[in-house]
Amino acid sequence: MKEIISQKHAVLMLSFFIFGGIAITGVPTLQAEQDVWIAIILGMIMAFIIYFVYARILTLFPGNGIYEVIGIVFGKVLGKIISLLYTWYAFFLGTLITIYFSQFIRIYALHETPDAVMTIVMPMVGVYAVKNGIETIGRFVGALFPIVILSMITVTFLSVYLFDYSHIKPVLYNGLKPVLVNTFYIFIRPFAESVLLLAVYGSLRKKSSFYKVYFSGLIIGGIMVLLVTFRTLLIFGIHNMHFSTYSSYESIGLIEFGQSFQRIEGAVAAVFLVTGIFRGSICLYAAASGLAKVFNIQDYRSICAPIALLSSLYSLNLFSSVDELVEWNEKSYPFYAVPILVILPVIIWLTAEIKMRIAKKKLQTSADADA
Amino acid sequence: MILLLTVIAISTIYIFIDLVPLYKKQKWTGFFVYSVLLLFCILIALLMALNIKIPNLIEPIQKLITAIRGE
Repeated sequence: MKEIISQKHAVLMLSFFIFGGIAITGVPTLQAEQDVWIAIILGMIMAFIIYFVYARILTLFPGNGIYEVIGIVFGKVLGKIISLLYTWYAFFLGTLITIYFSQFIRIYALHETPDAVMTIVMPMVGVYAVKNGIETIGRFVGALFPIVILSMITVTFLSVYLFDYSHIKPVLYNGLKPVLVNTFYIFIRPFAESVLLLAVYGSLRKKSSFYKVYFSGLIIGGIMVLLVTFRTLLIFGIHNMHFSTYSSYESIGLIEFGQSFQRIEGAVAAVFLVTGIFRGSICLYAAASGLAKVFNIQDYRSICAPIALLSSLYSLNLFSSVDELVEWNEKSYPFYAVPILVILPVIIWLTAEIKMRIAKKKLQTSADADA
Repeated sequence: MILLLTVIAISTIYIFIDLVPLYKKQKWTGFFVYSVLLLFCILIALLMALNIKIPNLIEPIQKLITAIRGE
């Protein structure tokens, strides 16, 4: 039976996916420094363009996910090779998410727990979610979204007394160039990473508008990213943001009212972890459905468990420390991800447009001949 | 060694939950892919338990990107 997700859930999934990318780590700030908020706005504008491409791909082939579209557009052999690339990316991103969140739990909560325990247990939650189907994940996001928004707004209001507005000054002190470089990094993470949702949106209810889903999701997710970044920047300042791997989380730890109301970061951490599990589930879904498509397996759910286990083991080998991961994310990751997040979707879109036009012309010619 | 035992324990659970039904339904492609992935997981866990270094894909990718960027 085909799974169906509603337009509302699709929008919330995209916003959640975008927000989850920076929920505890914050956005990359190396180049733009205190002007990072400008880079986020510019990153959103860039994301509008690539989201148009994503939405157009799905509009051309409604009811089909990215792997089906690739199969239709590029044929069997080339289609499988490109599908494998996306499967690999989904697997790789899932591994990075596992590292970030398992290290987070180890650093702030369970210091003595071996890495292996967290990295193996966390993706098992994702396996459970994916086995229940994408429809269930959509409903889960729908139920949780108000809680995330409420916690975000509450924490922001509670932290107003810590805001130091000198942290965002001077504006554009180093000129526009570093801001533009940072824009590229922010465009990749967290915005363009949502290419993986192309695998999910094949299940979108008929008559839903992909453009509405992408643009509404981007606006909601972008505003959430902007709000969290502004809050962290105003509380922490750019230098502390550079030194902290989990700057969003640590800045919340400074909020306290007397002795009775403090350390609220624990409650917020739970929300952050849920976004991590959601992102991990989407990566697992994309990897499992991609592999299922490549090997012509009917039910992707039947193979998601060993993929998650492999991802866990891979995450233990990938980086020796979380600092190494941060360095990779800030220096190499955007360049590594660009071909899959930007170049390939553009090639798929252009090829699909050309193929559709040729098919239309052929239909018209045969209709004219019949007449 | 704890890692290897954990992986074997989890794999055993997965075999009963997923692999046996795949075998009973005679879905051979799924059964084959699942088995290969699971064996691969156990192999990696075994290598890690024996402290044998597993090739890391990140290093060559990072070197390539650094070379392209000219740093």
